Amino acid sequence: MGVAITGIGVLSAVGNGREAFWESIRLGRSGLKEMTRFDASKLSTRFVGEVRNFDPSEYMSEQELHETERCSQLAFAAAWEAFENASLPVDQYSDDRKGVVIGTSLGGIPNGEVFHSQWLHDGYIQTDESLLLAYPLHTSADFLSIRFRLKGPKITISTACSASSGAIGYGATLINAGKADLVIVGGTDPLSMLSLSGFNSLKALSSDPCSPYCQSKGITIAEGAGMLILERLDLAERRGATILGLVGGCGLSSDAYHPTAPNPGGAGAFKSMHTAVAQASLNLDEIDYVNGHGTGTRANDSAETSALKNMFRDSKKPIPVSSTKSMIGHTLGAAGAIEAITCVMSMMHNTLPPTVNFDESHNPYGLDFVPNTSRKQQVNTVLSNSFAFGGNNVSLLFQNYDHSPRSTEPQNVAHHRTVITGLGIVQPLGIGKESFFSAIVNGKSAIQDIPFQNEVYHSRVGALLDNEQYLKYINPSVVRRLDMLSKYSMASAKMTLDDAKLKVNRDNCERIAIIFGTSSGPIETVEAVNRSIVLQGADKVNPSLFPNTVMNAAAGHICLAFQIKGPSTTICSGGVSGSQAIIYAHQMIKDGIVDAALVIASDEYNETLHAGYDRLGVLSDTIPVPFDREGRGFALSGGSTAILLESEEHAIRRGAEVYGEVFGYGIASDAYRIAGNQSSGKDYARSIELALQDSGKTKEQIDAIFTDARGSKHIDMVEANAVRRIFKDQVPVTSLAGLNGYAVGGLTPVHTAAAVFALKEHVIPAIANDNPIASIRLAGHAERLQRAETFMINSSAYGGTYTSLVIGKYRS
Amino acid sequence: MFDKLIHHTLYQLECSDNYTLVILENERLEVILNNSVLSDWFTPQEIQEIRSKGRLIERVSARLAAKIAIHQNHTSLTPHHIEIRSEQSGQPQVYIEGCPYARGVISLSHTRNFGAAYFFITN
Repeated sequence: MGVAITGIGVLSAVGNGREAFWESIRLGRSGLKEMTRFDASKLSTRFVGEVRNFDPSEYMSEQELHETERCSQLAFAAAWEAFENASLPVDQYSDDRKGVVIGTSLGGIPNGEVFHSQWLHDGYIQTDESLLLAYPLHTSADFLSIRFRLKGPKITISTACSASSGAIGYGATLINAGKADLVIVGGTDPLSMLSLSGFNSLKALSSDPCSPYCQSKGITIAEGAGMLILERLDLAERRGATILGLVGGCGLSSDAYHPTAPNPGGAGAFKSMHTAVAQASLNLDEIDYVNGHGTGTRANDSAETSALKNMFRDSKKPIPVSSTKSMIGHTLGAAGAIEAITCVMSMMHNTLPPTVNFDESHNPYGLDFVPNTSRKQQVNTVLSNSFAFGGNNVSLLFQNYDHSPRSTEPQNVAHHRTVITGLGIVQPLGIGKESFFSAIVNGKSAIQDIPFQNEVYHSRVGALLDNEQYLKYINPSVVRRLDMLSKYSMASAKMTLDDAKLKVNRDNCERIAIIFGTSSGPIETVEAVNRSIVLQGADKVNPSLFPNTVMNAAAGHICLAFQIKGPSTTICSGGVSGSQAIIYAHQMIKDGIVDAALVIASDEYNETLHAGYDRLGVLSDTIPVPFDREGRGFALSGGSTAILLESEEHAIRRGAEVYGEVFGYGIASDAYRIAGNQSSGKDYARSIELALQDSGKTKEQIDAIFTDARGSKHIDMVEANAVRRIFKDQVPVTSLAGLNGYAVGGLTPVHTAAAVFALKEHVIPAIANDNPIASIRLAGHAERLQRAETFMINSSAYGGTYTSLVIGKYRS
Repeated sequence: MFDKLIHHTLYQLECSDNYTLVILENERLEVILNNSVLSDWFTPQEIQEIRSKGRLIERVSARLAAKIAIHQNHTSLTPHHIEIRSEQSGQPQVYIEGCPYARGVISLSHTRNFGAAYFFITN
């Protein structure tokens, strides 16, 4: 189909706005200066890349400023410029066909730091709960969707330093899959004490402004945002848009080598670059320039250059490589997007950006690093690398629109069917699928009094894993390296691979993906690191903890443990994280990118999380009842669910038992309010309709609906309205939130497991509710479905993202 | 503002593509109104109309239900953008930012315990 870039917007240490930004890059002007907003006295460096002269009030109302934090504010200003640059006529695309994919590593972490500090110093009651509304990573995407009326797909990716490259790749995937006509993609990250003191603890900060590929003494942390408007190429051409470049390819891979260090041979980096180039059907001599990850650490610079030498060893010309982090600094989750903009502008101006701070008499890695001065050269094709903690590698390929050969023949893309062949369950309701299934039949709730009783909490109930049975699924030699989230996830992953009887080996390891979904991520570790910063000082962070603070750490551990080297990504879209992980995996299999994908959705439940949600007043003080008219809130739960998805051919080839099939999906947004949902359910219903359409099923074919109802009146009412719009009261609805608690990011995978059970046994979980909020048909106790062929599984996130999946019985 | 009102006072809200039904509980509404003022929700003209007749809570409840119902279809509107005025005949008429609303009709009802609005979208 082709994906055009028609608008760009950027804020960074070298300039705000694309023109100022490019002028600095072209001149080799560094933005790395002494920090002004943080106390550097306990850090090993004084240098950061701050966004200066940025006044968000020029763009936003007072209320919007109050509701957002720096991460979203940077994102919004960059998006504003990108939309302005794209010169989109009003109503060019319907709101429903416009989406947003954002990559961020930190999101609202600075808000969390302030809240945590208030809690530790002044006590829980004195905390400002409004800080938590903008804390979730998906806040930036929510805010952009509201302001620009983006009611199509909305996804947040958090794979640390490769997050926004992954976002660009996924945005292009959505357009190519016909899910949207326009997607704004990019990344945003603010400076925070967590990242500064964390990298400080790892001794990874350069005392001077960083010197990638040369001195390689460490990184310089920075902040910024970069946004790109992606449009379907034919539609952009039809409207006469100025096309700044094309997204030609995106390669994802996993190192499976070490939690933080890259594979020194650069195997994972090689794989991601190779995939991106192969997608564009180019040969290596057609690549004009590589914008390297080039962080300035010895580990990265050495591994990346090894991969580059390997990649271009047969190339007829030396490949120029540069690191613009030498001027911008390392903007973490925003880096990939800012560098993508650099690549686009490099093609627009036929100029190679330099690597500054480069001692030309000392070139330890021996490539052409475009030292210190930019170079005029025809630039038609550019490769951009982003590599991250957890071995998450992403390479993007950009092409100059005017100089790219394009096929006029329609491409025949073979779509693959996605089947479910393995389940692993670590949930309060049961550990292992047999225990979980029998709990569904028994209908006994796992929600009980919580052990961290404290009189200040309104809610005293939750669903905890009451024993550590799951630890037996984890190799004892790695347990000590894992945090709570990774332990849950590792156990469910192991169960799933065993259940599916899938052996990962050298032949298949690059064709298996890990797609991880989490709402809150490794909150226990984040809390521990931040506690040491607040109480002991920025120089007292435990270096063994910091690597586990990134959202993709658990996925990295799993890749490493099982030697899975295919694409890996982590989705952090709040309550829809788990369902979007299934959706992304399904799309990869459908498109033939991989043969199998291990989807894992996990969330912790501990006192920190309980306190945060309790402060927001959304937790129930009794066992919640989904769809209750008096619904007073939900009960949290922690755990992990893993599902193995495979292409039909792959499953048949290896003789796997097939539990069910993923037929289709829908994603929609209501563009209504940060941390709020529009009560009419209109856009939720659109997600249901899209899923029916994508799956080729009619509403009459849906035998039951697994809903995201959790006991909170408002959000349950949104879903009740959505269900009633499509199904009236004709289809039984259910939810496990009353039995298992609300596994924030992971209820859809839990429901998928329950649906697999229902396909076989015709039994769905009951909802005991004699005062429902709307006229819907609630599943009764031990109700046997007459027909159990096809199910709908819904989920929703605060902030107005909705997803619907259609799964059902597999027939060959 | 609407979300808070819904959270604290709603008895029922049902939507489809062509209608919205909102029912509020008067007892809960009274608690809210004790802590806020009518001017947060109503224009001066509306307040005058409400106060000119008896059964204040019931009338407030029905009109707020109407505002919620319209807000479901026009989410960018604030409470003051939406006016519910009584015509000479007593029939309620919706005004958006001072202009009569032509895309739907509203029906209000109230009892001692509930205020209700049924908003039917005509085009």
